[in-house]
Amino acid sequence: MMPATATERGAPLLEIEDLRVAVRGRTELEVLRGLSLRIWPGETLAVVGESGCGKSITSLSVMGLLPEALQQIGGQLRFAGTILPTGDNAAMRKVRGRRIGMVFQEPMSALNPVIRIGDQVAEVILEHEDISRAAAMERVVELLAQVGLPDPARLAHEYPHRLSGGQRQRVVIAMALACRPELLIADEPTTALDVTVQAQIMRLLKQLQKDLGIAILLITHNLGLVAQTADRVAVMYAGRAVEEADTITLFSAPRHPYTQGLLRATPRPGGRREGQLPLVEIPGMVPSIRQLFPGCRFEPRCTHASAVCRSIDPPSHTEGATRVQCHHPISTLEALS
Amino acid sequence: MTPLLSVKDLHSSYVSSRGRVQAVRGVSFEIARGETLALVGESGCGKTTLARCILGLQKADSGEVTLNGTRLSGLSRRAMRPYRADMQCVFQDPYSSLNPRRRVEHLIREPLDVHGVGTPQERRKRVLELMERVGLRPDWASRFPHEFSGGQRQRIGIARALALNPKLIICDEPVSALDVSVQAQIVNLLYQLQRDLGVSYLFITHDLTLVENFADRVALMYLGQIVETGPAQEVWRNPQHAFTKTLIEAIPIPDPRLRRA
Amino acid sequence: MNKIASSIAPLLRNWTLCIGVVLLVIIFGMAISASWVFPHDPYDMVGPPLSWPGAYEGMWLGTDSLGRDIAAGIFHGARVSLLVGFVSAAVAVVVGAIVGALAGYYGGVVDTVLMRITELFQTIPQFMLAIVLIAVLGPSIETIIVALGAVSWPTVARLVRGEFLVLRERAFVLSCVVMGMSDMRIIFAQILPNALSVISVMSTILVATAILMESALSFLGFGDPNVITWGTMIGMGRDQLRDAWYIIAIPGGALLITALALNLVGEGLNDALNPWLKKREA
Repeated sequence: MMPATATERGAPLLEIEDLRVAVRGRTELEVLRGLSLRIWPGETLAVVGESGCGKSITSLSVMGLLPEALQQIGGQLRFAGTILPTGDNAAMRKVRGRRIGMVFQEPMSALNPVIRIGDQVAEVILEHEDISRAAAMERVVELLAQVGLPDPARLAHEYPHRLSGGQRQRVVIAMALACRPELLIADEPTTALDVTVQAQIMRLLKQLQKDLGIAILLITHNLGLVAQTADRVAVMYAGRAVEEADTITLFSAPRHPYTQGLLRATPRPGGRREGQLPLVEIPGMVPSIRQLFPGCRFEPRCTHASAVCRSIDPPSHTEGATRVQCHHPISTLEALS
Repeated sequence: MTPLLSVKDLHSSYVSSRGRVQAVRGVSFEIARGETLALVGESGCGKTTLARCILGLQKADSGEVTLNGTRLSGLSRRAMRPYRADMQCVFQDPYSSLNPRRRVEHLIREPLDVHGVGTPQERRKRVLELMERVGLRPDWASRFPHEFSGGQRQRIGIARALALNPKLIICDEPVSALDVSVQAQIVNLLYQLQRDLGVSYLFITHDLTLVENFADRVALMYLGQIVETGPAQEVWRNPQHAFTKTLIEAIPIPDPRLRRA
Repeated sequence: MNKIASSIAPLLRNWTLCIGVVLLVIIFGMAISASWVFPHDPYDMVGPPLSWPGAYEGMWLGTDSLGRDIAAGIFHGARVSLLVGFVSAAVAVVVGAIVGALAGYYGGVVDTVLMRITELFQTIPQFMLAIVLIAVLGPSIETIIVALGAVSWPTVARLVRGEFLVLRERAFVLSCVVMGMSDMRIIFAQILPNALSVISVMSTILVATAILMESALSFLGFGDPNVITWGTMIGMGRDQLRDAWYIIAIPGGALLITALALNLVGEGLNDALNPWLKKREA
């Protein structure tokens, strides 16, 4: 299915515009350096990047849960047409859980070990809706069934340690979906799980998306997952979305040298290169936010770099179906070769 | 030619809160000189226990481990020490596998000190040579581990493992904590070292796609047993065991045109 | 030079540690200078008895019922308190660290045996055990140090064992085993330094406890009769509590300030070492 163009799709559900987040008190140290992203209702946007690129900070910003050491210094977050009051904790509490749900990486630590599963899920419902405890528990059993847990009525009375990692992640998903949010942020939801369990969880998320029409912001480092599940992809590098396109376009014709490097470095079945080094490396490493320089952050590792890359941070521009931030984007022909 | 490492019918169990757990249940395999055998399995399949048994960090219940013609099983910790130089290890977590209070130079020199290799000058020279070999700048020698990124720490770990010219290096998930671009650097480094030095690897991982790209043979481990062995590409193309099929089925392929429903 | 400065800077920002260290330095100064400031024996009668602080020329902290200079007692007593406190804590740390390290590293039978012995010591109330030991060995500075060391090592042993149980599974320790390093070298050169921050925080508390226990022993008359200590002074002032309470209050205050200073240092070290270590390992 080819995604429709922006104009056909109407208003985005979540719009991140020029988001800037920096170390509190040292605003020159930027973790997010003008990040712009849009998610439309019902779609899956994958945000991929390596550690330190700011992808998790992005999800925390949307939830208004930035750690104390960081502060938003610019930009705007709009959700369903209104500006998200990310600085106002009381106002954000009405959004969190109710309109935006979140699934974390560690299913072990996302659940309270001393509270029964049913009570934990019910807590979320009771926090946001004025219904009786009994009614909430009924909903809980429904939810647990919906996320594919066997014998949900009995499971609701169990403690988290009785469940496997995959089952726990299902409970976490049930909690995130308890109040039927419009957006689900899944931050590395399967990184702590085995591949076989990962496949089940991703299948579940896609099924729930189809049934409930929720949008998913999938944050991951795993390009395989992205290829298998996302409608659109944003590749982040050093606090910016350096490339954004629909999944097919991004994988078949990457425009940013970093995206290309990342795709080439990812091992793939049948990708054995006899007589050569097994994998294609991207030389060097991600720059520290302490390294301040005027140009493109990828320039030190880039094979396409020129003088302009060293002096000017490239602005975002559109090339066909792709939004890319690069002075020398790879041409479609070159990318296909 | 005799294999470098041979493991015969190894059994190992440990006591947990839920009673005795049979982690390794009769595992046998061999690794030839200069070969890479990838041991692939999911968490809890016993692959880490198996590695610990081979390294003598944990006692096996029964079975035999022979390295380079020497039977290691049954040797006491002390008796095993001289043979340890032949078999080194690279650990998963580059953050906890280096003593945070030691400088890089000291960390890489330590194995030489322990085995009394060469004079102090020779050791120092060897450290710089090793640093260069794994792609670390010699002027970083006096830094502490916390001053390095994950990939660089893994390079320090590899230099340390190489110091004694081992014949076998057991790599326990050496790249699973690293980013894709750095993972490629480390895998390539290991590959190059093997070509230059002829070292063998037992490469333990959960990532079948990764090892399909460079291992000679793959052994799939499931519930404490090796259920399938074969040339890496062959296993992928033509899986025999049900577990292998399930695993391959579940691996997300980084190509949206090959999307599974 | 710069490296040293940058590692000390965060310590200076830690005010609990600063105050604690300043107080300790003053008390150490008193102990060291005692022989010059008060060259006479603190047990000598040097003024009229029971003169209040400041009432008699040269006796600025007053005299006790036998006309002994309280200031001289405080200075000379600081020596004994610090000596007993630090040496007995050192004994406890060395013994406790060795026992805890062996138990934690080897586990199994070694652990069981060593921990049973440790528990044996812990089940007897510390103070009673100290009194019994001194009664058997006879009261002197050395026996008090031995007795106090003997009652406080179990706490150190348990703490060090706990640290070792965690650290021995860390990959850097495994990598040393794989390399063929000897157990003693792994225990003392690899693991122990990583447990030092916890041990050093613990030992400041041990020093404070030992100083208080020594005073209590002296107060009860189990102290070394040949030297003056703060506890002895408090004990001797007991009869004059109604009319000359300063005789007790002054050494009591000295004890309080010393214990406080040590606790501040412990607290400060805890704050200073822990985040620092976390940052290094992160």
